[in-house]
Amino acid sequence: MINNDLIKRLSHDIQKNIQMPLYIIDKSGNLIYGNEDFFAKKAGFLDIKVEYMYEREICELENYTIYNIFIDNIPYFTIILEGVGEEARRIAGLIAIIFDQIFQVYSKEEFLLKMLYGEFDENSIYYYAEKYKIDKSVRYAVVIVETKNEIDDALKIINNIFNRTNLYTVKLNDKKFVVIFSSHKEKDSLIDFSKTMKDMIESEGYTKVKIASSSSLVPLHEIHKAYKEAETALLLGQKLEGEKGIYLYDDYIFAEILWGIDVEKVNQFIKKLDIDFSLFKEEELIQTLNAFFRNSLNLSETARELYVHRNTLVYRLDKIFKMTGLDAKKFDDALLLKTMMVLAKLYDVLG
Amino acid sequence: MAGVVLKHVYKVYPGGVTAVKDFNLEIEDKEFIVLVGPSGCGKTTTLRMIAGLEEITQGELYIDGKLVNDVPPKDRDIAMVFQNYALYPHMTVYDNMAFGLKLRKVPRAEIDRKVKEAAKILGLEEYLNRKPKALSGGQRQRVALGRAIVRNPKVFLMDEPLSNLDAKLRVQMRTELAKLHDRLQTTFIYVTHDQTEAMTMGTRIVVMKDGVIQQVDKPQTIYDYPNNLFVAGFIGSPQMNFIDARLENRDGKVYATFKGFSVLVPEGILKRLKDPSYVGKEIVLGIRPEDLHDEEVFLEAYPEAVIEAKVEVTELMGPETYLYLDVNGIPLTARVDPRTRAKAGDVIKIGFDVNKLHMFDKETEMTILNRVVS
Repeated sequence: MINNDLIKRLSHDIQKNIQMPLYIIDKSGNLIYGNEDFFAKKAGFLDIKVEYMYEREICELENYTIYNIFIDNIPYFTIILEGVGEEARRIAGLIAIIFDQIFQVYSKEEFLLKMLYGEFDENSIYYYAEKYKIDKSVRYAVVIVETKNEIDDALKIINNIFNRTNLYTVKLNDKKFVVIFSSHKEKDSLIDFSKTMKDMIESEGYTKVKIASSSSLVPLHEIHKAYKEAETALLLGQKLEGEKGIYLYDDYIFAEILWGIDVEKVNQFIKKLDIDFSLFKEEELIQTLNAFFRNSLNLSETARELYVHRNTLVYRLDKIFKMTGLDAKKFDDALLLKTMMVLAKLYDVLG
Repeated sequence: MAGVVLKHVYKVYPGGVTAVKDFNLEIEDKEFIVLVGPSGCGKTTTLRMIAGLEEITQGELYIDGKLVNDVPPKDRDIAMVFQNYALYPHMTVYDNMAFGLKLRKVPRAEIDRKVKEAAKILGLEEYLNRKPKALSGGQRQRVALGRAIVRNPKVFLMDEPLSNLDAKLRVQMRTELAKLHDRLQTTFIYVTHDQTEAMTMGTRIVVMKDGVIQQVDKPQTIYDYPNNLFVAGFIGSPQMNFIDARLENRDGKVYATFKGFSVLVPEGILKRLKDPSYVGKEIVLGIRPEDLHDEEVFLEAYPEAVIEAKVEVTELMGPETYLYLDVNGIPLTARVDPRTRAKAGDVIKIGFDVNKLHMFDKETEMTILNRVVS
């Protein structure tokens, strides 16, 4: 894992054990570790250092000992010790060995996985992107695929069906993998992409599958954010919509806000409302409310979707009003009902 | 080739949502059965239970006489074609059809034989070396079907396979699928929300709503004798007109009265009443758009079946014209000859073909008429 914080921490520990002042700068000349006065004192030093950037041997410059650290043949950062001579060279060499051990090179698969988990900083992501020829100029979406059986066939299907350059699959475990793909299009395209994955894996691979997609299209260094979105969609989607099978993060933003609430507070809120929660056990009424919300509180559209007479719909909404004191036709009451429905599923606290 | 039997099948999801309730159906070998209903009616869940992609909560499922509740999908001798199919873009037609068999590690010679057989059935022999981008939309759809055919399944399961196609190709593929069924002589179970697809393709139709079978019958029987208001409204386009009416006995004749109008109910319909006591009660009267007439000849022949209606909108469809009418607040749609002179704003006379009346109980919404036994 290449990470400036780690370099700082390590350098700090090393500094405690050596007399000579230690400085670490990155390949652009930014100070990663060391006394900032160093820069002020040695403003011209960095210009000179450029000449030494590809130097693989330990060298001395004025009163400094310099040693470049290469990762995969690319200079990544420079160790600078204030002082010259045998002792300084020996210490610089030892520090280099420590960093070499830590900054091992990751395979493409390992890199993608660690990038998803947010274990790389931006510099490291772009370093590896260059190494593995991953396009840095496009934006990416992340989809999590969870299968009932082992994922090998599903992976083969996905890798063959989407024959595009900017698509990567990463195995998370025996039943789950991630698809990272570039996209220029928005929500509809993500839904279509997810549907195609689901239908193809199920019909060709004979296994049930769940697909959760991020909503954001992000630059490469924000892949972790998109992965968290897909993870949230998978968790909350299953809680709210059960076996629907395709979950898009955008649909669960409201639930995500409620998901962070303390359960005790949820209980207090519910008690305050003092309504008949047997409503949440009546499937027909819940389906009616869901359809009514989906159709923006429009009676005619909802009746059409449910294939019921408008009067039947009004009767059901009246029944809900009698049970809860909340009139779903009014926005504020509808919002409360929607909140209650989401809480009921998230926390299972309504009995 | 195999029959499929579902006995008292339920699907209840965690959290208690019941998607399918007490589903009973015997699908005969080589039958083309269509499950149809609105979104959320349980048709896809039923198909997925047959496929093994959803577990059956309660009940029994038999394929070819064997109980398969706990048999994994790959061992059920089924093949699936779903709505969002995609072809492998860098593979030839041959490889596209072979891919699924390769995953299952079928011997190469057997794959070759099956792919060539399927290509012959689908008329794709000369395209086997082409890539998908060199195919027409119809040919691509056939390749997708080919992937299912090469599995040589006992049962084909199809979930809205034509929904992503444009209207013209959809009509063409409807016919091709029907022909394919004839050629393969295999059981097809087909899910759609489109009642036209159901009517044109199925040997039998299963109409579903809220996880419950509403009616199972041949297409024409469902159209002529809908069991309830839902089926009557769902099957047929434009949909059946419904009128809250009262059956009244006047001097030995029974009339359906509504909004100040009366329509004579003929003896043939009265004989079919399940319970004569409906006379004198409120019912729901149903009449299909094609059974409303504005031709002079009809209006003169059946004067006791004529009412007045205001024309709201006319829609010329080519071979027919739809009149959207208002009868004192009741909306009616009539499908009439395109030579009609009616235009928006006119008050016209409209005649009911009373032998084609449908009647439903206002409370239970079930039909109150017996079928004609032929």
